[in-house]
Parts: sequence; structure tokens; C-alpha cells
Amino acid sequence: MTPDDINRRKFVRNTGLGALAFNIGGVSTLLTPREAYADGVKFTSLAAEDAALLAAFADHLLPGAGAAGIAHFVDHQLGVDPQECLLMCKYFPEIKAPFDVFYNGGIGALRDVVTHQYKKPFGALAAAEKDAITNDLWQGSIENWSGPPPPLFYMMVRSDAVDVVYGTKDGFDELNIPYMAHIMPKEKW
Amino acid sequence: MGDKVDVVVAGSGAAGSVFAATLAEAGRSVLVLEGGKSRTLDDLYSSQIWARRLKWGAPTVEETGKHPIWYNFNAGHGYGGAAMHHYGVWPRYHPEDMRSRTLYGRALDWPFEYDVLRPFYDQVQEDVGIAGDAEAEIWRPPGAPYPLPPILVNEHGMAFAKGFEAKGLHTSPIPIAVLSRDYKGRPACIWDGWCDAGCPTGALANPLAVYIPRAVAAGAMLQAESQVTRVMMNKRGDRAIGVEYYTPDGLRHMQEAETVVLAAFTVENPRILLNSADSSAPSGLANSSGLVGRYLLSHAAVMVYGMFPQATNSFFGTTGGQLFNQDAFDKQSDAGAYGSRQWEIGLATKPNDLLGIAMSRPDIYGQSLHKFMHDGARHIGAMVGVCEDQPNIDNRVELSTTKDRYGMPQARTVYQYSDDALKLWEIAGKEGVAITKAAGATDAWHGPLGGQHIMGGTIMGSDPARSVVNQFSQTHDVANLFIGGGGVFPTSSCVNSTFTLHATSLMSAQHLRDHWAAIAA
Repeated sequence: MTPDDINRRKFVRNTGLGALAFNIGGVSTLLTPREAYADGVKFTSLAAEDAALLAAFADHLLPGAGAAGIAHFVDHQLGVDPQECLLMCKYFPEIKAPFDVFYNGGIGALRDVVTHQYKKPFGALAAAEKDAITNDLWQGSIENWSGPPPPLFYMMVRSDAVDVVYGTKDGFDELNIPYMAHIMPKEKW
Repeated sequence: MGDKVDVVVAGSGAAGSVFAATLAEAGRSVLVLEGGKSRTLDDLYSSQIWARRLKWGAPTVEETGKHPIWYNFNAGHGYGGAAMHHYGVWPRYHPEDMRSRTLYGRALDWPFEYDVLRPFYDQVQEDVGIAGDAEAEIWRPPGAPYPLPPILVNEHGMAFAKGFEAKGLHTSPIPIAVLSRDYKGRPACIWDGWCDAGCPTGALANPLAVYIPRAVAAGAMLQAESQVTRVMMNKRGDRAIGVEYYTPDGLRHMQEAETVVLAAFTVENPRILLNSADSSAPSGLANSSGLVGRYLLSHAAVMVYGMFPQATNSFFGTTGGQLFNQDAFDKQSDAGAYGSRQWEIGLATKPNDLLGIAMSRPDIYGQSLHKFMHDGARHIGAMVGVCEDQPNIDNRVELSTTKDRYGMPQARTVYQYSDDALKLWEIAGKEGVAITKAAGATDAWHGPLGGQHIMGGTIMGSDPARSVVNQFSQTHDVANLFIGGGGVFPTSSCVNSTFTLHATSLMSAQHLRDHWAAIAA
């Protein structure tokens, strides 16, 4: 399998991540992040434009993360009690609850840098321009950054992307390794 | 206010469950107050994403100083505490770990020698079922043979073993509290590698599999979402009379008890003691030495990875590893650095999360990350080097000026690894990469400095002026107040702390049981 094969592949199921309870029209509905993305479920913690930027950036870090519902996954988890939060950011001593401060700060700073440097949205950048920003984030050398530590923001978004793409039963299938669950996460989280 | 009980235990983790089982089985009325949620083995989903719920998330622990201790990653929340997501690597402390000051003029002595703790190690390993090979584990201190044969070693462990052999180093089966055979009604492990998400079959000796069921069967009561905030004292200030706790509805409660056990993990125990300050103990309860919160300890850990040409199938196995090495345990074996080191070899590795395939190379992204994930899924190998740190009075837990939802000051930690630990970490990283290359990996690398296990803060000792608790984890200042957990360790060794904190807790609980009239009456 080549990376291009991977890029073209459509993940249509996402059972291993488990369904999250999204509020649709006042009704709590269990959906996977991929389903929430496909259904265009409204965001509740992130502003829509911030969610779009998060998804675009994540898609650059791991192609397929946007369609896998990374923005809906993060949006949902920012709305739960920090103790119950399923984002990896909760491990990191530098990131304090409530975690939306970290994400909003990072997304806003990314937008400011892109706007300042390229005068267009992240999603409209050429691949080389996205790479330049990404590498500067990881190296911590990005200029005019006003958010949380840049490498930390890069790592957390990358981790969220890996979660929704490869941290699931379907992700394991994609990697051709057995999931071997004792108890498959499928209930309301 | 609830009915008065003989023993109230704050925390339902490894230490709290040992106290609860031991004392309930002796006929004592026991109430365990757990700050987190209720949980059963059926709640443990096999997912690295879901596993994060087992770990700490709130209230915030403010980590300051040069090095973080990674509290949220190491601590736990809910029934079973941190041990619900521990990996079951259970080596023993060595005799020299408890005599460091006497033997080497470094660090601190424990108030007893290894032989005092040995029967409690033996009892615990019989209770929980440890797998290993005592003869092949050439560094192992004296003790009863393991009750179970070694766990599986697959292509992953065998690949690394070649590297160790090529470097003239020895490997043995890892001593691990994971069942290699059915044992006392619990089933053998099926090597699925979901240890970090909790083990719902009970093959890994977490509290919900062993000591909590025993405690409940003997009549102990567990109460979730009950955050202990203070130890309540009598008017003279010389005896604990119970604890104050809060429930999520914001209500304050008082639970009376003849004895109090704080087993709420290494950082929370000092937090509760410091928050229990009153006119009799203005600097905090049990703090006449001024050492509550002091001598916080952690291990400096280094993850080492290799990409092997042959399949390692590292998704399979146990998260704690398959093989073991303590060739560098001698505290003076590494030039320029004092302290012990060990290797845990062949860690089951899933695609995501902090110790997963993706985070082993955080610099890779885009299509290259897809390729790396596919390569790593069957070909990555992982091991971890664990290095001793030295007790430092400036490494500490203190109260923050920020308060949690119940008005209790948050904990703040201040930590900096010793130069010795950092040197050991550097040596281990280089050694690990060299071993991995010698094992035939086409690429080998190590990760950044990581904190593993948290100890100290309420250390034990013979001198009340230089320690918080005595050899039985009983506070010097308050006879009916005990501390459970790795917080009582004066030294860290390089070994995983869970086995030893089970042993010290069992020794402490049995002491309380056997001297009940003198202590509680």
C-alpha cells in the first residue's frame, strides 16, 4: 500500500472510536465524529471558522483527519468536564483545564500568522507554504505567534488527528493489525 | 454525617485497597472515600482514547520547577486509582535501596532493611500472582519464587534480546503482575496489549481485580465522588477523629472514624495534610518536621524505539514489556552518576497516545506520517529505561493560591531532577540506541526526558524530626493517622513503585490490625 492509496481510501466506518452524544436540534444523538462531520453537526465549543481551520491544519498533519471528524471530536471534548475529557492534551503539564483556552489560543494564533504572512486562509495555501508554517511550529521558530507554545499546539492537533484516523477499530484495520478489544467502546462517552 | 466507622480510607487505589481488604477481613468497619467516579471492570473499554478517562484531569495540579512530574499521566481518578492504568511491572526494591545513606553516604536510609519488607513482598505476590523467573532474574533480591511462570516472549522481545546479548548484557523474563496462567479465579492474559486502558478480565492485578473485591466481600464500603479535603482532629489536636469531604453537589460532609488512612496518591496526601492546618498544627497536620510535601521523587525515563526489518508485532503482548534487565543496578556502575537503572523491554505499542507509534516521532507529518504508521504497525520495537532520582528536600508539594471547586487550594509541585538522574538518563538513552542497533534495527532513536512514577512527599524514617511517618507509615505526630502509597518512600530506586507500595501498605495495615487497641482506642 502506498501513501497515495491511503490518501484515496475512504474511511466509512469509525466504530472503534465510539459514539459521542451530539446535540442536534435539542436532541442528544449518538454519532461518531466522522458521522457528525458528514452530517454537518453544529459546533458547540468552537466557533465554526475555528473548527474549519483546525480541520484544515489537522488534514495537513495527517491527511484524512478532517473527514474523520477531528473538529467535531475536539469540539465535543472541549464541552465535557476536564476529568472526563478524552483529548491527549490533558496529560501535558503545560496545558491547564479548561482546555478550550489552549485550543482557542492556538487556533487564533495560527490564523493570525497565516493572515499576516500570506494574506489568505490556511486552506488556500500551497503545500509548501503549509509545510513552512508546520515546520516553524514544530521547531518553535514561528514568528508573530501569540498562542500557546507552538510545538505543543502542533503536537496536540497531530495527536487528535492520529486519534480519529488510527486510534479506532477502523484505523487498526487500515494498519492491518488486530484490534483485539475486550470491550469495544461503543457507548455514550 | 455518616455513622462512625473503625477506619476511613481516602482513596481506592493500590494502597487504599490493601488497607481496606486487610482491615475489613479483620472485622473492622471500613469506609473508602474515592474522589473520582465509581467503576467496575465492565467499564474498561479497549481504547487508548478511552484510557484517558482513567487518568487524572482535575483538579489541576500546578507543575512548576525545571522538570514536570507528569502528574496527570501518572495519577488516576475513580475506583482503582492510578493502578487501574499501571502496567504491572513489579520488581522489588533491592537491599541497598533502603541503606543508601549507610552504604554510600548518599540519599536517605529507610527505617528498616529489606528483610523486614521481604515477607510482605512474598505475601503480596502470592495474593496477586506475579509471573517471572526468579533464577533467570539474576539481580533479584531474596524472596519466594514467583507463583507463575514467565509471560509470553514474541518476536518483539526476542529481537531486543539479541541486541542485549550482542552488548554482553543479560535479559530475563520481566517480573509482572499479569497472569500467565489462570490464578485464583482470574483468567490468564490473552496478550492483547490494552493494559493502559485497564484490564477488564482481571488478568492484570489492578485493585478492581484483587484487593477491592476482597475488601467488599469482607464488608468494606466504597463511596465514589467523595473528595476528602481535611483530616478532622480532636480538640487537643493529638488524635484524628475523621475526615471532611465534599460531594459533587457541593455539600460538605464529615465522616467520623477511629483511624484515618490517607491513600489518595502521592500529591493529594500532602495536599490534604497541608490543608488540615489548624491552631494546633498551623503548618499542616503531621508536619512537626516541616517535611510534609518534601522529598518528592520521580523516575527519569527514556523511551527507546527501533524500526526492525522483520515483524515485531508489537501491538501484541503486555504494555509493561516482556523482558527485563538490571545490569546497571549497582548505584556506582555508571561513571559520573550515582544511582540505579533498569530496562523494561518489548513494550506492547498501539498506534496512538503518548507512548504510541505516532508520538515516537512527533516530527513526522503528512503522507510521511501515514507511511510511518504503516511501517511501525508491525515493525516498531519499544523499550524503556528507568533511572533513579535522588531525594532533594526542595522537590516538593505545596498549596497553590488557586482553589478548586470545593474551595480547597490546588496542589503545586516543584521539581528538578538531580544531576545524577539526568546523567543516568543520558547514559541510558545512548545505551538503549546502541542496543537497538545491535539488535538489527534499521533505525533507532530515543525520546525526550519523561517522568515515570511519583513518590515521596510524606517520607518514612526513624527520626520524627527528619520524616513524616514511621516504619509502619503511621504519622509521627498523630498515632491514628496512616499514609498509604509510594509517598512514604525515602528513595526511589529505579524500580516501578507499585509492588513496593503494596508491600509497605500491607505491612502498615497488618500493624494497625495487630495493634488495634493501642492505636485506635
